[in-house]
Amino acid sequence: MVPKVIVSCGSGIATSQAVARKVSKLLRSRGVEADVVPVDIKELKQSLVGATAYVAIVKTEDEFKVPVFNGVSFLTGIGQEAELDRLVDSLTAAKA
Amino acid sequence: MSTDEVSLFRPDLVFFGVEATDRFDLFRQLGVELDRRGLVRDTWYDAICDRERRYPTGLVSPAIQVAIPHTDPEHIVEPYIAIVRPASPVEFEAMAGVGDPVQAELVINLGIQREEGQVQALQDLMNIFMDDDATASILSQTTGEDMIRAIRSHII
Repeated sequence: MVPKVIVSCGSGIATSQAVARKVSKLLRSRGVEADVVPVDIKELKQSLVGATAYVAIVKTEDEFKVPVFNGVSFLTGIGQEAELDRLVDSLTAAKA
Repeated sequence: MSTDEVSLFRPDLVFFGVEATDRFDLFRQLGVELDRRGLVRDTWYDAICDRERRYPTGLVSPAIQVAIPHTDPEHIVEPYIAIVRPASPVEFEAMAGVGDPVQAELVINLGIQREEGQVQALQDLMNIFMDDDATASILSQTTGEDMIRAIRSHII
């Protein structure tokens, strides 16, 4: 099964879609297959069911069962490689 | 770039030297301009303030401190991208609550709906802000036409 990566922002448009596209492209360039899905923050909890990773662009105080990644770094490029490395590791480990 | 994205950047929606006491004052002034052009509904101002409080949009890249405030699509009549170059930086909270408040030198208001091209426009802008030279060239512009031209020239 292709691992699912959830990206959320306040409305599920704009930032989450931009980040989802970027993450999707970066993962492809690393040869990692994943279904990267932008969602509205209101749909976050249900969207995370069955997901392998969560890329957050909003403040999170909740605890999540899946590993959380910093979505802002994919937007600004700061720390992007490190976050991508972690995400790739996480997805590869989930597949194994 | 598609025609759709090109049309989102409009010289008449680039505002220079805006004196704003804070980000909400900046939204108020911008709202007047957007409303005058029939681009937003009268719910827009409250919506953008509320959303900015809950989901702040300040971003820091090596090249620039910028904010990308936006609302849910139902407050938008026609898609647009407005650019404000404040007279002095305006404080925004950092997106995702990560790091110090951002002193935004440029405020980009994305009046976007659910179309792909609009998301691409945001991504294109973010790519520009990752590039020192491209960002410097955009910040050095003094007219709306020149700024849009500079932005377009850096979008591949």
